[in-house]
Amino acid sequence: MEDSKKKIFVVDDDKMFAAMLADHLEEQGSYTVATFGTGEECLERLGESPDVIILDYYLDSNVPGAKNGLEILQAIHKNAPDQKVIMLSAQEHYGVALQTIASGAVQYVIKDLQAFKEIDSILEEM
Amino acid sequence: MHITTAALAIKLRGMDLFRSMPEPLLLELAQKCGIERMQAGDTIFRKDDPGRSLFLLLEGDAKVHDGDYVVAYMSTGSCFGEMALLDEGPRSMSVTAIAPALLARIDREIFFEVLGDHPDVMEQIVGLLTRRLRFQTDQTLAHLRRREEELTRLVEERTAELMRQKEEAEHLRAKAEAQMREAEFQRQRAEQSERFEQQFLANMSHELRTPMNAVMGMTNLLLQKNPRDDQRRYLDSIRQSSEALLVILNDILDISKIQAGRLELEWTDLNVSQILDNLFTTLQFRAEEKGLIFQVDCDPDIPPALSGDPVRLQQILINLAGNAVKFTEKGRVSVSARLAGQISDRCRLRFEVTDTGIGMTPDQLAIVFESFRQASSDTTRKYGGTGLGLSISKQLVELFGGSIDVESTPGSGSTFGVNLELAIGAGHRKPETSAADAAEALRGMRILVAEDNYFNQVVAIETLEMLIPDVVVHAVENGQEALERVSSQPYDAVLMDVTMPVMDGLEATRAIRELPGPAGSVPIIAFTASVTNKEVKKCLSAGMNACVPKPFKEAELLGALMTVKTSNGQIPPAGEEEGDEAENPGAGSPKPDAAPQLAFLEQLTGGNSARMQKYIGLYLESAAAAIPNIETALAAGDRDALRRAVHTIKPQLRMIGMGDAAELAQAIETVVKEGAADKVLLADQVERLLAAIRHSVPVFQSYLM
Repeated sequence: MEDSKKKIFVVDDDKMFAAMLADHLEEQGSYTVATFGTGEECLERLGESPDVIILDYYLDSNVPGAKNGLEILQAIHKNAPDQKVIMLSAQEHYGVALQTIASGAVQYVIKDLQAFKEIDSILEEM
Repeated sequence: MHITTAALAIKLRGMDLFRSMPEPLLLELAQKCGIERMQAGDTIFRKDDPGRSLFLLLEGDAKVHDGDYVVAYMSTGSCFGEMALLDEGPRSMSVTAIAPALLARIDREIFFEVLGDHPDVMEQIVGLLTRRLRFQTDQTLAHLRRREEELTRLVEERTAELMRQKEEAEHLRAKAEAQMREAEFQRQRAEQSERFEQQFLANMSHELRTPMNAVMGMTNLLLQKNPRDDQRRYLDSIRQSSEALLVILNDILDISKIQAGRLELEWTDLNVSQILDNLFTTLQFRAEEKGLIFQVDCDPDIPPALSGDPVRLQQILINLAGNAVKFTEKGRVSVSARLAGQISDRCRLRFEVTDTGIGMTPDQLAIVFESFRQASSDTTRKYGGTGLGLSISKQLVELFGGSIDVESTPGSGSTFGVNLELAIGAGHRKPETSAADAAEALRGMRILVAEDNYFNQVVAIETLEMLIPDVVVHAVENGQEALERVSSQPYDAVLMDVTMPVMDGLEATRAIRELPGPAGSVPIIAFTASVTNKEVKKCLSAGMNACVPKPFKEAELLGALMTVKTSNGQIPPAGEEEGDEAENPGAGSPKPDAAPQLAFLEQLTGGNSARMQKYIGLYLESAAAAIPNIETALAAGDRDALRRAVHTIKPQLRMIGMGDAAELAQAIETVVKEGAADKVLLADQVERLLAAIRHSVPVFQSYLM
């Protein structure tokens, strides 16, 4: 039942974290996951209407000048206002979290050891 | 009366049925007709009689009926029962005379007897009757058809109406459902935004109070290190500014909490005279500076032990009296508390704050308790403050179930009054201990401070060292380290921050409580940014013994230490110090991991070694990029590049099992972002981070083989 699986986009320039998260989600059997190293790549495939986009805040470590997660979040919502987006960041400062939530992110998850558990429960609640 | 055969024949000839009947036959028929004479009310042909006669009303009036249901009225010349000549059938009709009547009656037998020999005449009459019958049938059918059509139309109309009503009901139901869905959606949104607001408040509280704690704490530390006079002036000014800022901050947080309905009073012992003493101490200096007479007067009849929230009552009175001092240029400010009444175990109190200040006009009085309002827009510029104090005071008074009032005359002063009713408490008050006594009682304590914020850590350590003689303070940066320390060394108390990376204070406390022996019962005091009841309960239920809000005050810290010490009985004997200090890497300097902790990775992958190798491979790629990036940034003194490189590797360090290195990365990031100046310390930290990453490369490479 490929159709019943939720489609998730993971956008993170941190390849290790993205791979861990993608594997962790696919392992559960109810998600198909596509990963992107920059937000721009994700925007190009927004037409596939993913159920959820998990978006990192800083995206310019490999591609200098790549837009940051907040700009991508705003671009996503310009094209798809109802798109559900979970923000990710290694940033513990809540100013950033509040800014993204004010811009329409569903939730804000800090990339630590609890991140996968938190993402699981956020996805479950959706 | 009598009627002749000839006359009867003439009458019969008048009926179209017999109009063309030959004369002899008509006379014969007339001769054989029966004659019925009836008085008014007489009835013939009861329902049960078989109908087989034709009646011709020769004279008078009669009705043909079925009981009360009249089908026809007969008058002279009219006839009834023509069809009886054709067919003998049951007739249920009766004939009743209305006036005296004369009826000619032709029975079917007589009719056939007279006409039996004249088939042509009979055929003619039968033909006429048949046509008449057919016409009647057609009429009836047409009527029935019309009736049916009418009914069909009615049914259709009715159905359509019902359908319409049903549709309408359906529509209404759908609309109601949509409204309910909308309401549910709005409710969820409201809940969500409430959650955000709650989160926002908690975070604001944390984000704002943490640096305030550092500023105020460090200022106090510097003030105690014999500054030069000019330095002391600057420090005093910093202290005053931060105190003012903290007041504003607390005002804003309070009003937000009140507006969100989340501010609760904490009912405990309350001593009015002590509150007024504190008030006097707090404001006396400010009043004297302005050359005001400041008086506080407490009614000795007020019972010393009442039940209420002393902190909030003091806040109300300080707000009112502080305002009075602020807005009074000369004269006096007086605060009084009076016992206004006492009923069994409750007493009514009246507090008054009177000044000889600028006063207010009636217009100003009307809005004096509203939020963000000051008497005029330049009041804020001239006198400072948020304009929230009176609004907060009013709402706090209402939380107490009391009332607040004000009287004022422009130019001559104002009086604010607060009426409260409080229960007289039995009072289980702690004995008062002076700070010096407390500090002496705490001599020689061994204290572990678990706090991830470097500045707060320094403030806590130095404050403790300054206050408590011979105190031994160790510091760690997260709950995991605290747990390890507590299980390996004896401490008399742990000061534990609640929000820390790796393992938070609550989790660490629960883990410590699981430890065997005396380590499991070490007193733990929470450092919390928010001091709501809920937060405190969370700490206590995790197994903590007390809470101290950040930024902490010396007295509160000592008080909490005293509480845990006394409630715990004797301080358990501290172990020998075997060169701890040498071992202790010092505040804010986490040592890099000797070996990465693969527990998380194993748990995440369920021990799947192919996946572990994949992640390790990706980590090694990042590490290979991070090392030169960090080195270059450090060499070039490019703080932004340094921050970015460190930030990029930080989560990977965390996930791969190098928690300490990740925290080091976090510390570097924070220092760089906040622009702290100690370049040597920063370089040292960065070198240690680089060492940790370099060291991890061969370890992980060996895992890939």
